[in-house]
This record gives sequence, C-alpha cells and structure tokens, in this order.
Amino acid sequence: MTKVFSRRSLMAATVLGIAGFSLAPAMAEDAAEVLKGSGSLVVSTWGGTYVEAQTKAFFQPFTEATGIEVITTGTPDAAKLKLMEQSGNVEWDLLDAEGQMMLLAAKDDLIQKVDYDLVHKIAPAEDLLTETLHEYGFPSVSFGWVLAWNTEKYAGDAAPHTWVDFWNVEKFPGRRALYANPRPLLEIALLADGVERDKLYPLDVDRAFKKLDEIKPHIDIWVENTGQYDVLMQNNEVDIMLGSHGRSTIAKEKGLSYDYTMNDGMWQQSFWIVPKHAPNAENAMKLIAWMAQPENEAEFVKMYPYGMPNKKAYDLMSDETKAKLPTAPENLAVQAQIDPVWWTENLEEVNRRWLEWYSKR
Amino acid sequence: MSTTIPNRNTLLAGFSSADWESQRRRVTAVLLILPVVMMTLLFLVPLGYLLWLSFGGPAGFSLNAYKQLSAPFYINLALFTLQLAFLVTIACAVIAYPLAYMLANIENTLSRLVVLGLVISLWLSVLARTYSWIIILQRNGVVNNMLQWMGITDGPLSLVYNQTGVYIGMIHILLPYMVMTLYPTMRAIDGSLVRSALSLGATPWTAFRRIYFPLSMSGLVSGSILVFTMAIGFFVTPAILGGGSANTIVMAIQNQVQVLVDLPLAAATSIILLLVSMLILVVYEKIAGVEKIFGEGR
Repeated sequence: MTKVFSRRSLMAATVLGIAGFSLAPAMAEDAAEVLKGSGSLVVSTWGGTYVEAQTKAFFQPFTEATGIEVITTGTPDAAKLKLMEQSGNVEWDLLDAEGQMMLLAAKDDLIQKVDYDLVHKIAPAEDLLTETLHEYGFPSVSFGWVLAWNTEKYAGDAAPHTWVDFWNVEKFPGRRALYANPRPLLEIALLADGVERDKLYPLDVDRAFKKLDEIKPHIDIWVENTGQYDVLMQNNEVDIMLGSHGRSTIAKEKGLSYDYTMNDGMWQQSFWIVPKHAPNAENAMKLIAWMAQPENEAEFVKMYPYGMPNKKAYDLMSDETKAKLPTAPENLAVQAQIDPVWWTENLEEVNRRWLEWYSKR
Repeated sequence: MSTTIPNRNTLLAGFSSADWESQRRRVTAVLLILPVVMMTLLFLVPLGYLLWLSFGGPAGFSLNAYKQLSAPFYINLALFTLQLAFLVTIACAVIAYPLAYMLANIENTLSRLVVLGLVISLWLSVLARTYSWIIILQRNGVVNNMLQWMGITDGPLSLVYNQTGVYIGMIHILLPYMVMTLYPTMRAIDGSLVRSALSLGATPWTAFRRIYFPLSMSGLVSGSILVFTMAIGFFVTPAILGGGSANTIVMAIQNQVQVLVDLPLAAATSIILLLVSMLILVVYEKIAGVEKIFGEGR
C-alpha cells in the first residue's frame, strides 16, 4: 500500500515538474484534478507507429496525471464489437473507429453517447471544430485521400492538380493506382466529372460508376490495403494515384520522389467510441476529455500528420506542421469531407454494386 | 518355504483374455474422452454456430443470406477461387514430386540444405513472404533488373500485381506443404521392390509407373488435399500480389464482415465454400482413393 502511495506521489511530483515548464500549466493541472481516478481502461486502436504516437502524446501523460492505467490492444473491428456486445463480454472500453463504423454501431445500439459535459469542463465547446463532433463519438483523428504523383514522371509545372487530370490519360500518361474501395472512389469520380466539391452528397452513384468505367482499363494497380502504398512509393511502381494522405506525407518527408496536392482531397473523421457495456466506461470518458486538450493534440501532430479537433491546438503548431493537416483552415477550404451518414445509409447497395463492378474483368 | 512368492502365472491366473480385452477397451474410451471433447468444442460447436448464424442467427430464421449469394458476381468469385486453388495444387504437385523424390532417395548435403530451406520457409510469416515477392518481382525488382541487364528484355515485365504474381506467390508458399507430405511416403517405399521389378526385366519407366508411383500416391493425394484446402482459403497473397486482378471469395467474406458487418451473409458464404470444397474432396476421393491415407497402417 505504502509502495503504491509513494509511487503516486512521485508521479504527481513529476507531473507538477513538467507542468511548470509547459505552455499552459494552469490548464493541465485543472484537467488532472477533474479527471483524477483509479483502475484502468482498455483502448482498441490501430497498431505500429500510430499507437506509439498516441501513447506518447495522450495515454502516458494521462496515466501520470490521473493515475488511470491505459492498456492498448489490437485493431477496432465492428464485427468483433457486435459479437462482444451480443455475448455480454465486452473487453474494450474505448475504440478508435472510422465514422461509418461509429454510425453502424450507434444504429445497432452498441455504443453510448459521449459525456460532453465532462469534455467541456476540459475543452470549452467553442474551442472544438464543429464539423468533427458527433453525439456518439468524440473526434480522434481526421485523415484523408489525396491526388499523389511521382515527381520523376511529372516534374514541376507538369504536375497534375485535379481528378480531371487523373482521368486524362493522354496528358498524363503513366502507371495508375486506385484504392480498391468505393469510398472515396465514387467521390473522386464525381469530382473528375465536374461535380462541385460542396455538392457531392447525395452521391449520384450511376454517374460515378459510369465515370469509373472510363478509367478502369487504365488502372495498373488496385491497392487493397493501405500498407501497400509504402511499398509502391518506395519502388517507384506508380506514376499517379489516389494516395493516402498520411502515407504520402511520410513518403515525401523521407525524400521519396512523390508529391501530393490537398486540392480536391477527401477527408474523413474518425471517432473515439465507448461500447454500451464497456466495463470502464467512466475512465474511457475521462480519457476522451483528456485528449481534447490542445497541448496534447499539438504534440501528437508532430509525430503523425492527422487532423485534431481542438482549434486552439492549431495555434500551438508550426506553419509547416499545420500545412500537412487535413483540418488546417487553409486545407479545409480546398477539400471535401466524406459524409459517413450518406455512406451508412447506402452502404449495402453501393457495396454490392462495387463488388460486381470490381470483380468484373 | 511354505509361503510362495507369487510368480507371473499365478497372478494372471484369475484373468481371462476377455477380461483383458474389456479392460483395454475401457482404458481406450477414457483416453479418447479428451480428444472427443476437444474436437466437439473446437470444431463442431463453432461450425454449428456458423450454420445457425448463416440462417439469420439471433435475428430469427431467414434464407436471406443465401438468396443474396445467388448474385452472378458471387458465383464468378467462387469459380475463380476454385480455378486458382486447382491450378496451384497441380503446379505444386508437379514441382514437389521430383523435389521430394530427390530428398527421399539421395542423401547428401544438398538435399539436407533443401529440407532445411523448406522447413525455414514454413516458419516465416506468409505476409512477409508475400511482400518479399513484390520486392523480387516488381518493375524495379531483382528479376526485372537482371533480365534487362542481360539484355533478354527491353523493358520491365509485369510480374506482379496481376495473376502471374498471385500464382508465383501462392505456389511458393504452399509448395513446402506438398513436399513435406510427399517426403515421408516416399521414404517409406521399400527400394527393393523397385530393384526386384528391374531385375525381373521391367524398364526403369515401367518400374516407376507400376511400382513406385502407385506406392507414392497416398502422399500425393493427401498433399493435394492439404494444398487445395489451404489455397481456397488464401487471402493475403491474392489481395496483395493480385493488385485487384485476382479477387477471391475470401476477399468477399472479409468485405462482408468488416465493411458490411453482415455476419449472416459472411457465415452463409463460408458454409457454401465449405460445402463446395467438401464435395470436390469427395469426388476426388472416389477417383484417387483417399482411403489409402487412412487405410491399414504400414
């Protein structure tokens, strides 16, 4: 007992020490006071460097400040969540879910509403980006899809700018890759067909597939798994593609011969969701509130170029970092947001059509 | 010496051989409880659950999932999957047979190294091996660079992100299973049988065809079943090396689970896949005689 106590006080001392140097010490201390607790929670999130960044920016400081232990585990999976809730044996307290997964889970009554009263004690409503918030989920990261190209193939002014260029196989000859998923392929097909960014939804599915028919014979590689992008770029396998924004940014920073444009990018929001019968739901809500702080978020984006929900976080970032984020003000203006509501409503029909279209040679 | 030390015969005198038989049976039954329970818990129960799920599961009985599966593209996906598995199995058999023959009949450093190589490749992750094929086969890969350097081809060949890549990758990953099943069968073949045939005037080809090959058949059959069954369920390799040109039914199941979260549909697809594979194996058994595998032990 004494041992635990002394470790706690040591932690508290460390936190105070760090807080003394941080930008907004008062706030961090308040958060620690409000969110103090005990026990632990299990967070289901994505692996690799992503969870390392989350641990460093959010989870570790949270444990140090509140005494609540964070255990991270393997990938969020809608089917698994459904089975856990059905069998009454829920192992996860917090999940980093894509928008569509959140809406499906909410429809099936598998998750609970976010405790915004608690969140607003830490981050006032006016500080948060409204387009990212949801009743059943608190924004985790925003990420997106961009037009990317090989700079050895299209150098300088010869670079493509829009999806119209991607469809123009005469002006931009070369090896093409698309992500093998109707979302956001339907969106970019419509953009290529001249639909305005803010008039995409509801998507005209017939028109999109017709436009996709045009480009299908020119696609050399269909990317099934976003992990493939790294290999493709490392080896100059593709000249022009629908790229993952995060992976394209990292490739560019590594000095690979790839560049991308935010113009006509499609961004989507992921959310922290709490299962209906999460054993440590209270701790999960506390961690959500902790992550709403601008300081943590500014720390996270240094490691991972994904958008964050607190507007104040953007003031703490360098211009260089900010330019990389899908949700930075100047980038929001040239992209469109993927609408998870439309996708949830039309998923079955579109998916059936997609599989049919995609598997036809 | 009035007290006699009981010897073996006096101890056994009270037992008839029938008693021993029933005792032995009882022990066998007790020993079998554990495997039977394991089989039931690990195979039958989940299979039953899958079947129940495919007919609607908790939402009540419905044939909806099976109706959806009659869509032409599901049938095309299934046909392609079977074709892929079939061709991969044949290719593995053709490549593995001479390899296993060499390993079984020639004892030298080379054959020991080959065995080592096969075993090591079984330890490595399928995902890592799949990605390695990309590195080897891609446009700037080892093979293409070598071919161009030697002046055999002018430009890079498309060896990956198409069906060629999928076949190469799958054959490579499944080959060790075929070799490892053939090898013990071939080792057990009595070499004197072939020598007798030769000494009685058979040509080497006749001796192989009428003596060696039929004796190695059981290994070939079980190897084929193993490879075919694994190939049908392959997911990572066709998805990554195919670049969209080798879509299998398992990729559709993944889509049903992760994108649609339609568990009954995924369960129904799995059940149909299971039934089709079992049907094929039954037909295969009729033709090739699988009972040899389970037949009287040597």
